[in-house]
Amino acid sequence: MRKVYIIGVGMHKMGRFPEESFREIGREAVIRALEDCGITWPKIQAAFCGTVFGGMAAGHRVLQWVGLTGIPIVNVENACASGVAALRLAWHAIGGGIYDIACAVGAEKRARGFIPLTGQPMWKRRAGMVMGPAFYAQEKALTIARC
Amino acid sequence: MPVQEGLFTMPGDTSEESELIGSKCKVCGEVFFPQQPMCANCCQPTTEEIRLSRKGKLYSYSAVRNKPPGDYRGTIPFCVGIVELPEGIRIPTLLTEDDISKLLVGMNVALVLEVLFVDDEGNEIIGFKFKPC
Repeated sequence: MRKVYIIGVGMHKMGRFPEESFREIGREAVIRALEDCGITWPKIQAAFCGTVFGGMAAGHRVLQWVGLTGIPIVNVENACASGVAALRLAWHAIGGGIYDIACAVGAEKRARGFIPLTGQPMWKRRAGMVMGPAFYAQEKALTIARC
Repeated sequence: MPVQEGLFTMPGDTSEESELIGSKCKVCGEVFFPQQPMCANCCQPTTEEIRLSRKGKLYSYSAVRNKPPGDYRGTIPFCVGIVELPEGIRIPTLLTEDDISKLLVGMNVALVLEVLFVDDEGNEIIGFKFKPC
């Protein structure tokens, strides 16, 4: 497996941007990353996009306004680790010698409120057993009880 | 009607009181709830159906003070917890107690069935909870 290097990073500010679309938010991160390493989009050979709620062909939509160069784009959903999963796919592909340079991007835009844990079965959702913070709070309760 | 078939027996089905339906691997002994056909350890279809103990200990708990996302139609606040059963399994569950100050890690709890809500067709949707005892 070849050594792989991260040569550029870019980020859109974290926050609520009602006037910006999902693809505008993702696009800004990609443009900044390209500026960071001084490489233009045509040099990129593959792209991986991590998102949970971004919808079908999320990476394709983000990158459509960056450049349409016919490269393979793969979208990945891995819950909170979706962005890392995109990075991992790029790392494997380059390390394995399939590409020399790839882009890993992630974006999210969603409504206020608790994240719907759609990975859980319907009966748990109907019973109210899908409150993410309640899971973490139970770990904390144990820590406190053991003190 | 139960919130999900196959999670628990109704009172009088196979025993006087309801029981949770789990799986146990015939090879390694691992216990699962809800029931599942494959053993996660052995990666083989080596599980058989078992009934879980009705009593256990409260391993941890938390109060939910905001409406969970999705289809929840019960009251707020309510408490959730993890119950440890003698079979060596810990189960996430709803608790009957809404007041978190009444709960304690390690307290004895027992299985009960309760109506979670009434659906649009007027059916009572029944789920399982654990009750301090």
